[in-house]
Amino acid sequence: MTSVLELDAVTVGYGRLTAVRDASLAIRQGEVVALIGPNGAGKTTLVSAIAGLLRPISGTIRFRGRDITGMPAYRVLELGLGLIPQGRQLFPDLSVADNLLLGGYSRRARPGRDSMLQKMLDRFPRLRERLRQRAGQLSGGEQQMLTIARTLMARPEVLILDEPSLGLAPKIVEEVAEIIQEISQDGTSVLLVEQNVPMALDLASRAYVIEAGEIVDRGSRDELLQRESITAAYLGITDDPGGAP
Amino acid sequence: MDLTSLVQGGASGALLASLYVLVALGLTIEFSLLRIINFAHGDFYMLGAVAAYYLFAEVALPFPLVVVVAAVGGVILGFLAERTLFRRFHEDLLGAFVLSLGLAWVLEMAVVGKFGAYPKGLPPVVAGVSRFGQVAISNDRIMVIVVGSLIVAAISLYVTKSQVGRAMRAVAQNKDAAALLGINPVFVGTIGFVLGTALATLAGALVSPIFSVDPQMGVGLTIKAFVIVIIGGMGSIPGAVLAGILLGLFEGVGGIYVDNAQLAVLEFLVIILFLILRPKGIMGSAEA
Amino acid sequence: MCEGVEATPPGKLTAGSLPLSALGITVAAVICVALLSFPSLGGNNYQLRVASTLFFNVALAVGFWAVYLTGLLNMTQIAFVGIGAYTTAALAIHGHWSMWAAVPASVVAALVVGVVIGYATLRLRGSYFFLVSFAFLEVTRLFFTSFFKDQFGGTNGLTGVPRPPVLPVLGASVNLASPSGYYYLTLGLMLLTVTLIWRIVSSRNGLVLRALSQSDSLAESVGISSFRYRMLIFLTSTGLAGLAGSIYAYMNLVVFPTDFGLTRAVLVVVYTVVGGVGHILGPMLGASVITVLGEWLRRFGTLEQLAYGLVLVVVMLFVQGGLVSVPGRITKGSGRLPRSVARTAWKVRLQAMSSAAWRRRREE
Ligand SMILES: Nc1ncnc2c1ncn2[C@@H]1O[C@H](COP(=O)(O)OP(=O)(O)OP(=O)(O)O)[C@@H](O)[C@H]1O
Ligand SMILES: [Mg+2]
Repeated sequence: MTSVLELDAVTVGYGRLTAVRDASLAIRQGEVVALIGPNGAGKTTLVSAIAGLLRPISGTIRFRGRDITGMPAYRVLELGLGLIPQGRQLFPDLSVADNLLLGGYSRRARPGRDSMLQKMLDRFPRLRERLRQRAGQLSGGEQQMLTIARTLMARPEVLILDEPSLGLAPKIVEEVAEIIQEISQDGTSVLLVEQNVPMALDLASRAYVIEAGEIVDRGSRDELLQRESITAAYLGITDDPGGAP
Repeated sequence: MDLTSLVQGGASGALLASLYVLVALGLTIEFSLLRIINFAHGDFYMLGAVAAYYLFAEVALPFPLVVVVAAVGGVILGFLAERTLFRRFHEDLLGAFVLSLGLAWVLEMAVVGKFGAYPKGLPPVVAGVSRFGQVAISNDRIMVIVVGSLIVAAISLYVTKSQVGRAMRAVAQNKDAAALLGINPVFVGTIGFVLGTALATLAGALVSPIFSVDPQMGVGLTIKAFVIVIIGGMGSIPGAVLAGILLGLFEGVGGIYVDNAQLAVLEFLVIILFLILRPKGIMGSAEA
Repeated sequence: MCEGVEATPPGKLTAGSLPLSALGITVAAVICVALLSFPSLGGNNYQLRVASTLFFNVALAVGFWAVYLTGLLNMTQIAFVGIGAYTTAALAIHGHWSMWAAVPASVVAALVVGVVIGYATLRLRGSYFFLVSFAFLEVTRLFFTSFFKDQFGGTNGLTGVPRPPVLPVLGASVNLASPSGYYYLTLGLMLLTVTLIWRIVSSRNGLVLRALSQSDSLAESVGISSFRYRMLIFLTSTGLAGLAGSIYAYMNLVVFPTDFGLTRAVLVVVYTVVGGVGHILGPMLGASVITVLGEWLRRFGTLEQLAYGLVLVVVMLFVQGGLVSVPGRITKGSGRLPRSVARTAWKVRLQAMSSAAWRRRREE
């Protein structure tokens, strides 16, 4: 089976600091793949490079066979690769409605934008109640829903979520997990970046482990759950995801 | 304190307010999108006024056409300036400032060479004065206040309701998040710069029948516009509108009681106080 | 904020990491001797006058550059030159103060205002600081234009500053009110400025803050208070500006509000940027070249200003490191910061990132 997203020896850095070295990974059509690793491992750096926010130093990134290495983010999205960034990067001073409408900005999102908007509001009824409110006034969970809904407006074929559970209450985390499952069932391929390893391994069929900028392990869910290094390092600390203040 | 002079002061305040808001809007939009401060902004305004002088007083085009030509010229000027000069300085406050300082000097001196260093006046567009009881206001001033307010309203509407305007506000708040939704921040930044420049040249043409035209007229206004942008909150459009109106009225009414220099010192004290007590300005957002 | 973070000195971070080699000291000494003996070696009055202007401008450019290094575009400097000049002129004319009293008083006046302005503004973000400093420049000029007209003379300025005295130096006597007297006064101002600024900027904190000038929080995470450091540099620059103003009053014997306006402030920016901000030699070189060039351009009238503007634009677009970067560019590619500073930045950054403080900050 061919991969929709394929990274070959990608190295990314900030100035002269190399944050991710020689990372290779692949996601097949319809799969949910997890990328797990501790704080500062380079997860955000890697997905930012995939989405076009950072330019890799070397290596290639292919999306549906097309080389997208170094392509700017707004063009990557048009091709059908969406990233939901870490930390709910909303436009806090804009209304919920404006945030959603901006999700429909791309050329890709334009046909059928209004029906998509209705679909999102049906799926996230809390957002419908708060359409006129400033996005910055929403609760953490609502903000996460809004970021997800906003990106879905462009109907991405591959969706990357960067720590969607970060800082959310367990009940909301469950809701997020459910949404990811639905997205996947609609045929979207998903790359899920998480520190919440139980959640990640629950949703994903395969996972990559990244530590200190390098992909150190990979395998199916079951393989990884057998490994003592994983259970000890990640499942032991899962009640403290991200170490929020 | 008598009412007539107060109303008279209010009327000159409204005139100043229209001018200030038009000019400050461009500055604040450019800052919000590109994180630059264009010191030559007031000189773009000056160019609009100089162009109006030639087109209206010498070529004798109808005034509305003069204003449109100035605005279109601003679009072209803004596009060229952004592409050739400012493009490399996005997010580089110091660099952009120094560059635009040089540009401001070049523009001023070039105009001195062609136009001469001394102020010139334009004939009135709508001759005569209108009387409201004891208060007399020249028709030109009324025209500027009305047209200026309409343009400000149109811009506000555009920025809040159109998809491009929404994208501008998105880029201003979070550039990366905007890019992830398919918005090209560089393109949106160019639009903002072009819009800001066109507003400045348009303002220059619009007020040229009232204030005399000279090559130095831009610098003072650049400073005023900075003040408004600070007080309104760097990058905030409603803030700039509100602060522009306040400053205009303050100067219009205050001008009855104290002289300009005292007014300026007072304004400075207000800014300092403002920055200490409310560093984000009246409408400043979380990210400025 | 980041309390409890040890400021472990990263590596050999002393003044020695900037190139202050034996060769450098020798060259500097030779230049100093040459400068000191220039008037007696037969420099004519015109040359001495140009040299005084040049020294004065170099002093201003170096003072401006120091504050620029901390990430602030400081437009107040010329206002403090004005405050120094007006203090001297007013005290000497109305109070009949001698030069020995008026000069220190002018420095103190600049410092007192400087402390107030510094406290009010040095915590502000770069863009706000720039705008306020800009407004302060305008307001100071307007203040001298229209307040206390009896003391400051309004737009007519203050005329009739008494001439500086004749000094007995090593048996000979130096008339300070002569071209060579002014030459020595401004030379002293320049040497004092360069020495003071160099000492602060090449201290450990100076190096680190320069390296990290983009990021206050990073600097603070390695234990440097950027506010205190900025205050130190700002006040040094301000005091020196006051001194320069005082000397200005004694050189010109008249002061006008328009002497201390935007034009002069912008020129200082031009000196610094054209020379290059990567090294203290940048502003020195820039001020020297432009002063001499300006002397020559003067005959072209308004074209002089047009030329300054064009030079500024061209340098910004094509020679971003300024004149000092040109030799390095030709020999081995470009580089805006000198290598020692870049190296320091790198070490500190690495250290900061691995430190607990950085982690904590990121998680907030
Ligand atoms: N903007 C930046 N500039 C410089 N270095 C950065 C920047 N962002 C991240 N880094 C560094 O790059 C490394 C990888 O960071 P990254 O954010 O990718 O980690 P992460 O795995 O996403 O961590 P977390 O789980 O905390 O989000 C870290 O050492 C970090 O300090
Ligand atoms: Mg991350």
